[in-house]
Amino acid sequence: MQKHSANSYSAGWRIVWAGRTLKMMETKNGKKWKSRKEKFETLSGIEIKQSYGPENTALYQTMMQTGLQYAANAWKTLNEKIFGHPGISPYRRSIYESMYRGQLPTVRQFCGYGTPQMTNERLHELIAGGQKGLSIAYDQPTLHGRDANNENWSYGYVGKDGVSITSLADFENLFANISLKDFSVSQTINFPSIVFFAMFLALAKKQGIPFKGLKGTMQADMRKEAISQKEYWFPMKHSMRLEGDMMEYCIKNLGHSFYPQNASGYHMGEDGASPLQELAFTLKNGLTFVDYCVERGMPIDEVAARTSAFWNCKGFWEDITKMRASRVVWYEELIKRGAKTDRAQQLKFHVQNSGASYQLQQPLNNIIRGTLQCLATMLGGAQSIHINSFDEVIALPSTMAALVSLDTQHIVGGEMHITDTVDPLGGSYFVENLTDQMINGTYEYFKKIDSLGGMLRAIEIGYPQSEVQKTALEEMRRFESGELVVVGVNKHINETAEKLQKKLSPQLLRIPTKEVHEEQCKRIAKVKQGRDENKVTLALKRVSYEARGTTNLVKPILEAVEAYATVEEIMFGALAPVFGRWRAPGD
Amino acid sequence: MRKPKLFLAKGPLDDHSRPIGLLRKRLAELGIDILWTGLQQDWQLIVKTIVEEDPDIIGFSIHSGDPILILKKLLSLLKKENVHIESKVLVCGGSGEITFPDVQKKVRDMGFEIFLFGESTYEKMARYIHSEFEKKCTVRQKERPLEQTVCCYHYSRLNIGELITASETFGQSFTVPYLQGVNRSFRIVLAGPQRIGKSSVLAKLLKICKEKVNKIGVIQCDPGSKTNGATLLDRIVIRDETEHENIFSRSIAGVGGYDKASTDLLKKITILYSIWGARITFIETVGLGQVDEIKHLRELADLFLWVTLPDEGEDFQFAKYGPHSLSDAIVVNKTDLLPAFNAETAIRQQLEKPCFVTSAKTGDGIEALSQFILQKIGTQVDH
Repeated sequence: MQKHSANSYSAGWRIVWAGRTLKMMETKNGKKWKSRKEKFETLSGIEIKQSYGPENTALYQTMMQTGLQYAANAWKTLNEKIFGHPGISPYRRSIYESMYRGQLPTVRQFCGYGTPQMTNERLHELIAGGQKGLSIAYDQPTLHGRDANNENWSYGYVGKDGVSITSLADFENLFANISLKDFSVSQTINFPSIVFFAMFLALAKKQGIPFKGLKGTMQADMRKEAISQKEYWFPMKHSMRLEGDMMEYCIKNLGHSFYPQNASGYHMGEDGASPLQELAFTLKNGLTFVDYCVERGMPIDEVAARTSAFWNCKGFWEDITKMRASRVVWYEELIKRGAKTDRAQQLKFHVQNSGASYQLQQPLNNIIRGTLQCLATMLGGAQSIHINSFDEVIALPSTMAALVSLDTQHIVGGEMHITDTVDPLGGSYFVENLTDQMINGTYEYFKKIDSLGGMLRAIEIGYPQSEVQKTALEEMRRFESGELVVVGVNKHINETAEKLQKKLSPQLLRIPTKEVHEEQCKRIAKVKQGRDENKVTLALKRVSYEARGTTNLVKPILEAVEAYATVEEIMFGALAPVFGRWRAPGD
Repeated sequence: MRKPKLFLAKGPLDDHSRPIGLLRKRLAELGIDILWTGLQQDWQLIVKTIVEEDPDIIGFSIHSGDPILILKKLLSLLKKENVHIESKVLVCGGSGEITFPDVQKKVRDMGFEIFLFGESTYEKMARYIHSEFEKKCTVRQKERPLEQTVCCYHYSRLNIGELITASETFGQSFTVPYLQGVNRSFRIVLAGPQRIGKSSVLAKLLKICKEKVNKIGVIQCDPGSKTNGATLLDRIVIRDETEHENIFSRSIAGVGGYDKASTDLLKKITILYSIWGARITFIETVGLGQVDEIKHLRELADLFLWVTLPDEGEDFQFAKYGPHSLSDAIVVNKTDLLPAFNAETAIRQQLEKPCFVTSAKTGDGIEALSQFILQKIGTQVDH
């Protein structure tokens, strides 16, 4: 994805101390990698190098000139040993050598509401605006694996916070006139993710696209669901199995551009976790999944290469260092487990800024919050970014607010020259110290979790949940005491600003939930009329049967999906009776 | 005067649990009893909980979904069950469309008071709840007779719920003219120290008993304190079983000391359960430790089960005179964590009481315990 440019330091063979391993790297065939700009230069005409190290400081130069060459070189070597170089393990500074000099982070705005047709229209608008990555938001019933026509569960939620999908027919409408070949599709779905993975494959089949060419991400992280987002039903081991089945299928049939696993910390952050807790629990979740897959016989390099992460960004320094630390811990843990390829050792992640940090009062201030969080994200080295719209704290974003948040990314990324050098904070006393503390803190948490018997056991007894709750409570008390300043809420409250800004509040997007619900119900009835019931029953029976054994469930579920079985029929009709229900303590 | 009892709920598919977690904690600190029964409950279970628990305040948190549709659905379902909505204090809050002025107006017209984070404070909310609760209590007290005659078999689940509230709030007593004709429900007390898994054992027992016994009553107690409200969270553990039509469950706050008065309340509730038709009543106590505490409770119980942990036998706890000495049988729970040889041997040697080695987590030993209970009920009824 990222392109290297060969102008940074000597091409050819070089030896670099990297973490605890001595590693030799070769610039790829001496090729020049495409750079975003001809020349990186400031307005004053100062050239900006790809990255900076000790050798670029006056102190180093002085040492070299005053006979302290040995000390200077030792400093440089040690520095490289501990901090590495951009693109070189332990990837503390970045996973790619040129990072944003080659390509700015992907703008991936989350989108979905109402009926599949309504979202399809919005997707086309985004595509017309130049967006290359699609990110689908599903509504609550879909996330819970419930059909839109289930009155006892879904009433009042259909199409409200995302798009409503009940069967493959809806999925086809969602992607009408969008070729899966051209876009990487990120699906924020966890509990019924295997069904949506099957729908994705079924649609690719219909569009005649070979599976190898598919790009995208499934969130599919049930560990964090149990900790924070709470959209779960099955016991952990069965959730692991479904995710493992997807991973196994991907390794056999799909390319490296498809990530069936995305270890997510975002929701923990929103739930109140500190950046350190988010970092530690999420990485442990991801590593637990990797271990599980390896136990099932999948090669570690293939599994880890197909696993990415998803971070929250709600502050500044702590979040920057969280992202830097995450790459190091991932690398070190993967090395420990014997991963060999760079692709597996490099942690790629998406970042969304915190919606919970946005305030109802003086809503335009949220633009500033988003901007600073966007800056932190870019300094942390994210691969793709979503910045929330300033009115998202109130409801679904208006077009105006959505465009402002797009431009936030353009301004931070393009206008301010922030991205012209890789890891500009590298070597800062403070940032490196905080990064170290994040790394150490993560290992402390790992130790605690291991002593409890591993992450799954820790979740079962509610350890990470209670840690997150404690932090949330602490944060609330600090907010109430005024120690934690929130402008416009507990400090600098300005009634004039509030009045003027509320007037400015743009036209908010409102979903006629009742109408959407009724329309979806009609659609489901129509789909059910048109499908071959025998085929559906048979396919569902097979899913149920195979679930009792250990066969990979992707194929049977794909069959059911292609017969237009609904999400609920598969998840609750066929799988739930076999897997049963589980709840975390307190839920 | 008891504290106001607030039932906090979220719609079936709303998972934003952070605000409600904070709310639970803070409102309890501000002297409100909090009943929370967890996420992902369908409407039927939410309504059944309201009918049985008869809370003074219904608090609904909405962070996803359409607030108007969701609250309308709640009210219509409660009306269908004849719940006296006018006597309830309705509050709600959340994010999303509930912050829109026009939506807020509609929600207020439905009778809800809205509290939004940032705009209002926990203190303000607690003040509102306390004052509304007092108002409603004064009205209710005037309406209620001091003693009420209760005729058997004419009382629905809803009536029983309301009668329990009346005796809880005003100490109202009942005369039951035809009580002789009723099979008094068999009272089983589950006692033991704190954090021993009593609720989990109860859940597993209910799972088996609900299939074999026609109707079952459950009372779960939580102490609370003078200033703090109680957090009534035990219902969450037996929630899957309370879905069943055969089960009536009630959480009682403020019953901690088990003196004469509080034991009397429990007795009244078991009588009401008998009138409803319950063959068994399970009473799950708060954590107990001393003999004095359980004197009255022991008198109330037809079957007194003492729940304990596997490692307690090691330090000769059973040799001493303690609450377990008064029990009819001992349940050694959590044996999935620790083997129970020591405890079992100690009990068998020193107490000569039936001993059941269980694990509420895996379900081991629960079948034998339920057999024992069912047998006891059989003999009791024969007499």
